Amino acid sequence: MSEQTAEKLRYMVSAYEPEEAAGTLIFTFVPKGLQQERGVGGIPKRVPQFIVAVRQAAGVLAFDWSGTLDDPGADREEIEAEIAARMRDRETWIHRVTSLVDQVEQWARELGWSTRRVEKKLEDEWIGKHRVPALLMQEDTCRFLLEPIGRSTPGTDGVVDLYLMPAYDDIASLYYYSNRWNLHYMFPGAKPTATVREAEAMPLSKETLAKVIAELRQHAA
Amino acid sequence: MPHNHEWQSRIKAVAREYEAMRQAADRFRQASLADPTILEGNLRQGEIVVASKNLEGTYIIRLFAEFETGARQYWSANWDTDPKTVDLLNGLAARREIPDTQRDNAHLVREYRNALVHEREEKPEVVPIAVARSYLCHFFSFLPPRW
Repeated sequence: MSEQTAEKLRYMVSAYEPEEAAGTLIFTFVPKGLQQERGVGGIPKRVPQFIVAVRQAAGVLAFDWSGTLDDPGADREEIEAEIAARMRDRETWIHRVTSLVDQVEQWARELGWSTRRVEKKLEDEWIGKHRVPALLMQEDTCRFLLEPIGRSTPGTDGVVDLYLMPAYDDIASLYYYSNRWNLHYMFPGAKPTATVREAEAMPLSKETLAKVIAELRQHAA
Repeated sequence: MPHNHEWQSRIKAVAREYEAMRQAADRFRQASLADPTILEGNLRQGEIVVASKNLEGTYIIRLFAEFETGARQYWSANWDTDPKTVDLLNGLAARREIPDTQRDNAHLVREYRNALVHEREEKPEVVPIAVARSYLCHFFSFLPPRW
């Protein structure tokens, strides 16, 4: 099931990972269009909520329906299929951005920069709230932050920004497309483009990252 | 445990949200001039103009609120008082050895926010949102990584 087909679903969906139960996701499905229904005497009917806790172990999803007050009946299969699709996308995104941070951290160390990881909390309509790593880097007095922004934007499958710290000034953006991370500069005064792909871009590598930082330092000097 | 970058990131997110709404408002304003029938309900062109004009100020208020909430969270975790905002900034500057320039810049944003909220006759210096974000994130960077 894709995000596009999911828009046709009959449910509003939310997902979160409780602090006290890391690794378990709580999905809540609320049927659309029932809020206006009224019972006897015009009293609004309680809107049913289907709540399911999901845990992934050894690649298999375990669904726990014990927390739901309402029974989805025949829709249970459809709901579980949608959760499975969302969990796949969630895993893909978290793995993609974590691998990026791992790789950049390694390059930064090889370049002699100091690094420190910080946690970034993200909210995503499709895969729910989640946590991913961000990476602080420092070369002499210059500090940068590689910060994940979002999983999905038109034409790309991931956005990560590079900021000059501590002011959080934009330096560049990384977009995931063509099965790799691409580095896009955002020079002040640059002409806006219709899509991110039209902006000046180069594949992310240790060399291109070092080049951006070197140019930034030169510009700041 | 709260951490410094989480709050800085929230401040940045408000500034980015403003950029999104700036573009949306400008597009809507242009589109409604070309085709007034897109205005639904009792909405008038003039109201779009006013909303668009006030948009940056609205987001400055939100930006500062995010900053102040984070600053007060750190303060409350360490000291059992509830200072006025001006004293909060000065107190943090003194305790965290924040340079005068960063402290004064944060006050510039605070004073501008106050003028927007209270509509004072005495107009302080206008602080564009990108500058305000920069000043507030810089001030916040002097707080410890975690508290």
